Amino acid sequence: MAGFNILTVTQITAYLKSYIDENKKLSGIYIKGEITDFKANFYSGHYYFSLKDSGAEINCVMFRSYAERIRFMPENGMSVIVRCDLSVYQKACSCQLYVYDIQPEGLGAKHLAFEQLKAKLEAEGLFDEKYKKTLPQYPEKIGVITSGSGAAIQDIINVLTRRWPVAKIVLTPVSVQGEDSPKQLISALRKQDSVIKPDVIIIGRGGGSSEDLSAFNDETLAREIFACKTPVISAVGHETDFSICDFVSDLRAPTPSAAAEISSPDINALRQSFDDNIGWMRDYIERKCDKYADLLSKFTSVKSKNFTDNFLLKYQNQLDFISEKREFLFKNLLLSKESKFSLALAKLDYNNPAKIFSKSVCRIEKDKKEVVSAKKVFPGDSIKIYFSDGVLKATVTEKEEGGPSF
Amino acid sequence: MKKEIKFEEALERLAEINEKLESEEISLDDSIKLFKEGLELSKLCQKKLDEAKLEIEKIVID
Repeated sequence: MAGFNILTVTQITAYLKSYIDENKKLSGIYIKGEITDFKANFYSGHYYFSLKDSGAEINCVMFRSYAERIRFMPENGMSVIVRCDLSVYQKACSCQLYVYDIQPEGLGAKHLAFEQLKAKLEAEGLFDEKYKKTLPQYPEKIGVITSGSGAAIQDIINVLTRRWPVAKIVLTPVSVQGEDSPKQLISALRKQDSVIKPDVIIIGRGGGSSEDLSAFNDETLAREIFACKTPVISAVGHETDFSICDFVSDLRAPTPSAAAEISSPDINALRQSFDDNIGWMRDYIERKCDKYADLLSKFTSVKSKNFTDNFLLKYQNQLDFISEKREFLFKNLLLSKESKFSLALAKLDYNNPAKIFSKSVCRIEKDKKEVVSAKKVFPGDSIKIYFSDGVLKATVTEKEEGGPSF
Repeated sequence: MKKEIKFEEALERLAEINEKLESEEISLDDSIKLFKEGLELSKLCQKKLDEAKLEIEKIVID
């Protein structure tokens, strides 16, 4: 075998995998087939199954994060369309589909178109949160685009009559189903946005079959809504129905009634808030006036003429008291300072070594020890007498007991 | 004051008045002026709410 380029099994499968993965035609594809060998792994939450038709069969895996999102449980024998990537499971060198979404085939091509358009607009950023406009809190003109005879407009009128009769509804009637419907929806939207100029636009219709709602999945309508300068609330069908219109609008309401509710404040709550505010302002101004009246009455009271005198007297007394007290404190302070000072002086003086040798005082030492009593000295003792200006060495000749007798 | 004041504007102005009233530095004169304005504004809004009647207009597309 020398001379041949020998590959390992791992190498050839890795090559095959990268060859397939690089092929853009094999990712994001839609495959139609019948489900067999369906298994939902209890622990991992992943789905494993095969898709087959009369000619072939292919393994599929759908990871939990995607499996969690589908609204129905796939079953063996079910005809479906899956959105997936084709890739290679290297351990078995098996080609398989990595599935992101499963739709029952019964819904047909319309649904596929819906999914494709949704993915496309989403990729273009038409559904981005950053483009969503803020709804006005107190709309005075509400534009409505729906059928002039359907339940939707009645529901909206009912809710607004109860919640926010302040508003004016401007309805542009359109047909909300049928071939001509998207075109009418688009021109109504243009008219609302550029001529009627309401504070908010509600676009929608009541419930119906998915076929009935399909006008709201029109791509041009979606782009028109996106370009709209007025905030748009979408309310198409029932809570469970989702349309392209819902995704691109600034807000999706589950039903037309809900749209009316979301677009309007509650008049009763607002009334209450005005009442509360007037009460608050009144309280505030009364408090403020009281404060000033109080202040004023201290100077000019009509009821008691001598109030001012009393007030002044009281004030004067207080002042006197305070100044007296201050004087007293001040004196005390001085006194205590003074005594402290003399004490300190005395202390300083006492420790002054020169003081020992002051004129009238001398120090007497015997055997190098200070003598403070005559009792310790006897005739014949040698003593030293220290004066401030000299030292005398002396011998005691005589001693007299008792105090000095000058 | 404009007769046709928008709700949004009226409520903004009321919030502003409340804030000013609440600040301590304001003089009695100014606070009375603000109080009067706030009261008028509140009453105007309330009147608007009380008299409100849903108006419906149909404008057909060409």
